[in-house]
Amino acid sequence: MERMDYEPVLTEATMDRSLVLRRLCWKEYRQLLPLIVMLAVMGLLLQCLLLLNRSNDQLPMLPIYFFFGLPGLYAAGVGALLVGQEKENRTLYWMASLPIQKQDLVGIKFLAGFAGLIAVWIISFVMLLVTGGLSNVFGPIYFKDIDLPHAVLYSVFLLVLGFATAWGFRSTFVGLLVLVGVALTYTVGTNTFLSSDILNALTLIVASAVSLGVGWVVALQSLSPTSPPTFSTVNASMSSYFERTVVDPRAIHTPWSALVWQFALQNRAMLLGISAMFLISLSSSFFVFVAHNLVTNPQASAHIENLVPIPAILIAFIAISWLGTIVFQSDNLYRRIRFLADRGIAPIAVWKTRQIVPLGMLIMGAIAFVLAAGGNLILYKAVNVWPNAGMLVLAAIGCMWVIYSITQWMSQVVRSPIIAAILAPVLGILPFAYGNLAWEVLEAPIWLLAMVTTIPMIATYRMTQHWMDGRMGKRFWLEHAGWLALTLLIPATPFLVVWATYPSMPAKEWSEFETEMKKHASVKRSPLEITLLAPRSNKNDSEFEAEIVEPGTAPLEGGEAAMGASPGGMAGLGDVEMRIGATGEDPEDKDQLPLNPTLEEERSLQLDFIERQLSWVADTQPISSSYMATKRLMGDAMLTRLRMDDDGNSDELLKRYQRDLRNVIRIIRGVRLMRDLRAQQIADQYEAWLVQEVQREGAKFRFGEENWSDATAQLSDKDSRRTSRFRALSVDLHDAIRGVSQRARTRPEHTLGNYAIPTNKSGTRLISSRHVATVAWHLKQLINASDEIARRKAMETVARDWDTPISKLGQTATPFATFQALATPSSLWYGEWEKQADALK
Amino acid sequence: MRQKLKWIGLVSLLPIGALVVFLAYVAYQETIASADLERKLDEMREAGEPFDNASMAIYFEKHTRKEGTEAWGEVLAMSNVSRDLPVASDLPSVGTGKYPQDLRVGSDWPDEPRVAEYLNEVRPILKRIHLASEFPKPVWMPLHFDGFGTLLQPIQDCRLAVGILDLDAAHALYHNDSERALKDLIAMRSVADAFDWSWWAVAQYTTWSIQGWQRTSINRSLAMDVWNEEQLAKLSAEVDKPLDIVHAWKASYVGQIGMFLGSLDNVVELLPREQQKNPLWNLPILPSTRLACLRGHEALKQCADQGEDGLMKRAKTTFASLTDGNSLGLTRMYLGMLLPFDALLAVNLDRQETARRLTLTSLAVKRFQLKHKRWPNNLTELADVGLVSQDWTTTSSEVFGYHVTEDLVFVWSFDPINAKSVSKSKPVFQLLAGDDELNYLVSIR
Repeated sequence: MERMDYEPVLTEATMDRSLVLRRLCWKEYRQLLPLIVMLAVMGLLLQCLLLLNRSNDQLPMLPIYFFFGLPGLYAAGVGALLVGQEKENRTLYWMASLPIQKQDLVGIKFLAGFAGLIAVWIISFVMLLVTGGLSNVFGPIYFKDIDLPHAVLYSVFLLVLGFATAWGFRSTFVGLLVLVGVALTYTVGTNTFLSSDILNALTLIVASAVSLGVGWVVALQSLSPTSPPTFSTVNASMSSYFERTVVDPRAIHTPWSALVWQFALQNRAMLLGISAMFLISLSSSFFVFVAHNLVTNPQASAHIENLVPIPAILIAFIAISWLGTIVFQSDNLYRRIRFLADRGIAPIAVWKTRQIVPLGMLIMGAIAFVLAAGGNLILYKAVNVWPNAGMLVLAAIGCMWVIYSITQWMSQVVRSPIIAAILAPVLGILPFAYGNLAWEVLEAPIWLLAMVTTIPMIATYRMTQHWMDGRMGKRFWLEHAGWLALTLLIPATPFLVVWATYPSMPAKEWSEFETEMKKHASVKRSPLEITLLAPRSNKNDSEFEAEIVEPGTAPLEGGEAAMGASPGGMAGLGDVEMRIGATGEDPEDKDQLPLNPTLEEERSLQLDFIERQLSWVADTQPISSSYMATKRLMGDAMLTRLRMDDDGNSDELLKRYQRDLRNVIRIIRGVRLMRDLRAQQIADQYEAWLVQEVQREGAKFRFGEENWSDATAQLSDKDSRRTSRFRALSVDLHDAIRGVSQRARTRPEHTLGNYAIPTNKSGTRLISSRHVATVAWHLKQLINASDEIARRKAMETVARDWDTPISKLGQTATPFATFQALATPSSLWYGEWEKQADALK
Repeated sequence: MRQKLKWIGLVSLLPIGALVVFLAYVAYQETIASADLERKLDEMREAGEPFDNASMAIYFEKHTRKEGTEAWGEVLAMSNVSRDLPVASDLPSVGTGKYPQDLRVGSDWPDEPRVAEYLNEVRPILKRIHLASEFPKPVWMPLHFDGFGTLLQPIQDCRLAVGILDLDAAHALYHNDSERALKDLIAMRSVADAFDWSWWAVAQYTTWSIQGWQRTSINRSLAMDVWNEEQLAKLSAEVDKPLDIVHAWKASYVGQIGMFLGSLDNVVELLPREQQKNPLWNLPILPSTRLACLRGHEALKQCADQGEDGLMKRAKTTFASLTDGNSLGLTRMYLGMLLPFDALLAVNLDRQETARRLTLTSLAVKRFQLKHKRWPNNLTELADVGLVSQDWTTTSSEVFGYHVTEDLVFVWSFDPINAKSVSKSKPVFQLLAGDDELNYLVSIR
């Protein structure tokens, strides 16, 4: 009877089922937690890296990819984790021997996995809210094509399929391989043959139910007692081949060959699977391209084309990440590495023999890829439409190397082969996210990035002995962390050097700028812009139509004449403020003009209109650069002057010339008062023109007394010119630092007054404010340079800042010459024209 | 067993060994290519040919004259200004206006008063064009060389000056002032010569375009019956020099190669902004790529070595082999970006020569008529006014069409856009040739 007291503990009938279920749940929770946390952390890290890169065009879509990607990865891996890991540790069969119902064991595992899936979806959603909100993802554009119910159903399908394969195969890796194969076959199949969303959803539900049923039966079978194994060599099946012992009698003679042989044998299933994945990836893309080429129906052709890239790339990506994973993980399995460590095998030999087979496969894969890509392009005749195919192939090979390098590193660090297999694809993306950040934001040179990809190999080489001995203590982690830090640091080094050494503007200089900024930056800048009436032709007798031409798109002949794009987007006067302005409607004149006006009538009307506009502002108020109106006035004056040169100074021509000049001088004065560098340069060009006119023979007489006195006063007032330039510089600096300027917002480069400052030092973009301020400070030094020596010195610095030869500074302005390249705001400062202007006093 | 194990080790090492051998091979090839490239550049340096932006500037300065720079600079600036004159955009030649279909002395031309007013306004420019024409040519202008990014604004602006000359010529003919018209037509040629920077394909196009403009004006004038024999002879002298296709072809490659090599270092700047940060375009360009690009251009240049006959075909074959789908890689990529110019060049040369012969033949028809007081029965009679049989045929040796009606005579080749050979059927003879047809159909009175 005493014995009976103990019996209930051991019998199913008396066991507290709810306690068992609670304990099982707790156990599954403990098993799942690391995976969920790791996926969340990885996802967050990836998103942060990509969010830091503001110049990425794909940025808005990335949070959405992660939103779907994380649950998918979890669903694919959870079966392997909950079932495969227990098989690997042999705890599953121990639990099966306990008085727990098999159905409970299987059911709790599935339910735990399902609960975890819900948790990951919630985590993904929260992440989407945070990072998506930061990148403005919640616009209608990005969400319109998203099929959330389908994604959720698909993740459930992956989950149950993952459980089924994990229960069905003894090897976790084989189970994962089968899962990937079935899932991709299903995806390609349904995408090809099913076009209706509802049909797709129904198929997913049916497929999930079938997987669940099959998984359930297989799970119960695998937990049932089995008959003792019989060892027969007569009918060796494929499964017995894969499960043959890794201690092969052929592998014991020479250490190096034996180690290679041992690696190949113990990974035979994975190597075969990965080879198959490579083949599928390459051949699928190859044959689909062939099919695409043969199919003449454009719609069908496009459909076939769309099938290729994503599954083919995905399969190749997973295959390479697993190729890296098996480098060290196959020795972690069942702690096989202890066998080698205990026998004193040199770590060097182990490292090399672990790498040689996967690396060889990778190289062969790359060669096959090159051949297939070349074949594709030739068959598809795509070379002409895809000229950088060669470079893309090269880049793809580089990507293969990076994925392998990082995943083999991870395989030495992560102890569990299952966790490693699940994490490998996520980790495969991480270097690209960081690389992208380093390239785009830190502006790391490409050779440095290429160099860094070898560090993971060095790290595993260095740490192989610790890994073999199982010495995973502080030193192991610290050294790996050190290598990781080095990997992250090296691409950032050029930026850090710039950051540490780049000069800052002295406080005294800054305070001068600040004082000027305070005076002018807050002033509302909406100056009068003189508009020009469009010619009223007999073809278009609509109102006083005025064209609105955006800067840079104006009728600029320079663009057409260029053999290519304008370097730096600057093409001189023609490329500057070109707006003709808003509608220049003038009801008074509208009724006065005949339908087919003569040139003289139109000229008179235009001049009246310009003068009327000028009368709206006081002499001391700024006037916007008004290129077309000013060009019109100057052109008119030039033609009139030439006519006077040819025909003599008639009263009519003199009056006309003087009227043009009066208006030009008035506009120049107003433009000089503008508070931006671009307008200052235009004022320079206008003044340079005026200098030419002033210096012509008989100019004093032709100008008339008033014009002459105004022109010489304007031109010789160098203090005013200096003050205006500094004022414009201060305001533009203020705008640049605060990102007020439209260009600064839309373009990643730093600009000063809409002049793009070249980034001739990598990494300067992140210290944009300091860089722009320093450039402004150098310009200020040039403005204030009191003698030729100081001016020359300041010009040299400015030329360096703007990456332009010093000969391009101090130019003489050529009116209307759009071929005059003005790359900096100071290109015309202290040119010959200005010396002549200063001397006019 | 031992042998088998060694074999497995060997097989595993094979791909890595292959990679090492491949990298060594690439390095060796690049070293050789680098040396070859240097040798080529040395040869170009010695021959004074441009191979980068700096040498392009020197070459430009060496092959141009500075005497007329200021005068032509003023002409260009003033021509630029003239386009903004209020009525300019509505007028023919300087704007988008059209000449009347049957422009004759004293015929109905509603825009004539506005044209006269405009021409009076731009008279100083016309005078300065004629003055500038006296200076040695071609003329040097300040240019900032930046490979294919070089802005060639002067050659664009010079077309504005030609437009003014063309309008003035038409206006002069309308008023039966054939001397003024002749002066203008000859000055058009001077502008073309002043900016005949034939070492750049794009400048060559402009020169040909101005020459074509001049021919169109001459063709138009032939329907106005204003020229005397002496004037016709002068006009014939304007178009009697056959286009030296071989020279033009080779000349264009001198600058073309300089520009190309000047562009290779900043090829990224020629790309759309969104592609400029693409790492693929930012990789350093290997010596083998530079060399192959250089040789690609040279291969095209050498197409002219065997003379004019079959040049088009050879250029087409060479161009196709350079950009063929079977040749992958960087060389093709860079050549592909910049070579389309050359295909155009080949087509253009042919078209120019046919158009020149047509004008020469048309002038000869009129000269024959003035000399013999009758129209020639067929074009072979033009030998009497100094033409040879080649002059009245296309470059593919097809005889031009010729037809005499009661008050008009027609000479035609073919519309290069819609046809490939001279039409045997007669054009619509009731109408005079319109502005758009004047380069392949000439009406003579």
